[in-house]
Amino acid sequence: MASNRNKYEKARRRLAAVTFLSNISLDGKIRDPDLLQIVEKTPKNDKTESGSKAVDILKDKEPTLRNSVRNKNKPLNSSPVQRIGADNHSLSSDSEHTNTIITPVKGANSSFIRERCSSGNTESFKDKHGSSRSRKTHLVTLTGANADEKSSSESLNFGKFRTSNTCIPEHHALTKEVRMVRPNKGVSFRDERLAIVPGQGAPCILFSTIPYSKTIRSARSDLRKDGVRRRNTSGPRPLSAITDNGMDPFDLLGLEREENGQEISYSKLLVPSKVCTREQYKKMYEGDFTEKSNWKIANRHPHVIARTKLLTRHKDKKWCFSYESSQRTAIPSSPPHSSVDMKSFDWDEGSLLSQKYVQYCPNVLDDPELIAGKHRTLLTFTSYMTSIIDYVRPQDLKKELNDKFREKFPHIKLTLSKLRSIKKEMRKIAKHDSGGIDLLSVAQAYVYFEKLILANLINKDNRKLCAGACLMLSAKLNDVKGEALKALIERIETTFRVNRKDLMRFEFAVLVALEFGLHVPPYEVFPHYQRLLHDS
Amino acid sequence: MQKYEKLEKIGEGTYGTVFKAKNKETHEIVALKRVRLDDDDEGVPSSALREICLLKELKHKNIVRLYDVLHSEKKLTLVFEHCDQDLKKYFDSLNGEIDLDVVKSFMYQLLRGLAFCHSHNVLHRDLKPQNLLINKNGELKLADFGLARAFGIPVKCYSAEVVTLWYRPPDVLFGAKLYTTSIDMWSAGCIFAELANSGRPLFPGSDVDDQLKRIFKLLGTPNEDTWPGVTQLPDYKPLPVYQPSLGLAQVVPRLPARGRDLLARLLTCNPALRMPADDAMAHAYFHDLNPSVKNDRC
Repeated sequence: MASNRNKYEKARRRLAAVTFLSNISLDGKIRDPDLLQIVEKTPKNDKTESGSKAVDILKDKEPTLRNSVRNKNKPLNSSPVQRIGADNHSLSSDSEHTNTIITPVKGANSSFIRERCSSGNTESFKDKHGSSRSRKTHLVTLTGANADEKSSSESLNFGKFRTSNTCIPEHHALTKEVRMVRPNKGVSFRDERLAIVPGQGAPCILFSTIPYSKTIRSARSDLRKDGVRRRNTSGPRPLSAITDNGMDPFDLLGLEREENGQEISYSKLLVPSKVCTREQYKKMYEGDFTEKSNWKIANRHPHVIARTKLLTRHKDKKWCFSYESSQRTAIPSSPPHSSVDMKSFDWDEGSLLSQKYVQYCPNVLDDPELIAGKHRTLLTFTSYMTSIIDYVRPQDLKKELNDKFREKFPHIKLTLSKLRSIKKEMRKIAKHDSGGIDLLSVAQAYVYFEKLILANLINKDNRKLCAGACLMLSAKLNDVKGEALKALIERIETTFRVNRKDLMRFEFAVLVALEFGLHVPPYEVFPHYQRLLHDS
Repeated sequence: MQKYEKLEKIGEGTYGTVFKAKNKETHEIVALKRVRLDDDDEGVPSSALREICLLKELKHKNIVRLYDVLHSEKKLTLVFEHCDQDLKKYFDSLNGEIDLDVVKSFMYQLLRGLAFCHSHNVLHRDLKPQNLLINKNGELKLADFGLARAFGIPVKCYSAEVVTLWYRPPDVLFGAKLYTTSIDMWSAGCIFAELANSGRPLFPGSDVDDQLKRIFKLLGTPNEDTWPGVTQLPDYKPLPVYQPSLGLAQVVPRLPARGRDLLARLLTCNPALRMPADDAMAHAYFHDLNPSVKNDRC
């Protein structure tokens, strides 16, 4: 009994390995990610669990199984495929599961034998399956197994895999030149994950660059992705003066600073921030509020965040899945400065700050569409359309959104949820029963703050002071004065738990960091203002 | 070492002191505005903030140039282009009557600077002769943007405490908190009349009520017919009903008919009907303007 079980266990592992390999197609893609996961897990997992998972595989991939059984007939060490799976000593303790494994194996085995008899030898069997799809389908019906197209194509891949294995060396003449990609000013490979991708298809090489360091663990940003994430608490923080700790607002913002009471000149910042003709301004401001739609268009951007899974029912009564980028299209040419191209995220350190600011787009950082999870399923029926948004645990959603955000802006040292919570606090500060400040000031402060983030100047130490300073600057330019301004500054101090002296020092630092560019065009502010109005 | 050598004190601005100074390297004469920065206070004064951020964007021949911002621990110095005098001092220096061609030239330059501000989304909100600088070449420049602000997204929270009383439009006198470029056009109209009268202010009111009465005595008291919505303004109060005197010919006797027409279009109580700056520049009054003024582009 024990040897029998052992045998089944081996067969099962072999099966897992073979299904894994058979799912790798010519272009290196793994067809079935679930399967891959299972195969990877199987040797490590608890026996019972792996057993049951293996059953799932068997049920789904019946024809594949048949192929794997064929392998079983070969000498054990001859196949490299075998080694992958056969490396541990797990024994299935659950006889019930073992039995369920056995049953399909038997069925498949017998059918396979039948097929084998009809086709003569194994080699021709492989070739035929590699080339002939119809024959395969026929075979499946013959065996009486789950004859769905998916599984048949799965084993079709197996054939392909075998064939390609022999073909590749022939076609692999070294005719291509070696291309070197060097890190330059804008592109750094530090702490990056790199993938080498052919013109079309999936990445074929994937690796990470990790700088050598004994304290590497703390330096790796991707560690945060899995398991326990460090939560960035922003709650009670000792009310300590940042400047007392030897940190300077100008240093924190990476700015030049006066020494020993020397005056520093900022004449170089007094260049108009927008090179824009009068006509363009007129066009933008004169027609004004009838042309809000233009602003909206201007604020769209080509980044795709949410994907919509389209589920359509075809005439032949099959459901088809397709992924579509959610209704967004890049508008080719609306107002001249609104066209966002990827250059705005090219962090070329050598370039002037202003170039980073030139193409600020209000919805690019805090994307209003970045609220739902991965995919929504869109069902299109003849008479109506509906979409299903899967339930996710709030923290999973938060993690997912933050991951997406980090993917989009790898250089930004702030999570999307943190950005949103700071913005919320700014809003809270502004809104006050006894004469708060208007939402336009808040919207404008958002623009300043996001520009600082995009310029990569915001970090954990300065974000609250900067947010407070932005709010203060914006309020001052929007006719908030006297008592209202005093009250605002006090609310900033208490809500962000910052010291007034620091806040004042940061005010000027932020002003310089923004290159005195506080006079921002309405189309940069308006989307924020509209969202604030909508949310209130 | 200091880059500038202080020459003399020009005056006290809305914040800090203004000095005439010389650049030690280039010997260029500049105006320095000193702003004290106090950590315990409210940070950078909003007027300085406005001047820096708005003048940064406004580079124009008819707008005073901000050359530099100097910052040290305790103070902020704004370095401006220096002009010999302002329009008020120019009026004072006039012995007798102003040349009508100069009136036309100054008015055109004022409108051109204003049109530039407005096209760049900026309201000046404090136009008066003291804030218009004149240099030796007869060029006029808008200065003192300490009260200026951006407009574009209309919100009813603009300050109504703007513009020196004599140059303040009736809508703002009635407490309007939402206004647009028309606020500057009224002031331009008042300055136009003052120019034509060689420096005699048009409406030298003593308080808001007096100011309104002086205006309505000349132009007639507005009502819901001539100015829909006037009674809804925050500080609206019924005032004695004056009939429009149409006496512009008596008020600005030296101004030709076309000039009076332009003046009437600028001094329109209903802000929606007040003529905008670029339309005013195209007015027939300027048809015979000296081409050297007109074509002198920035």
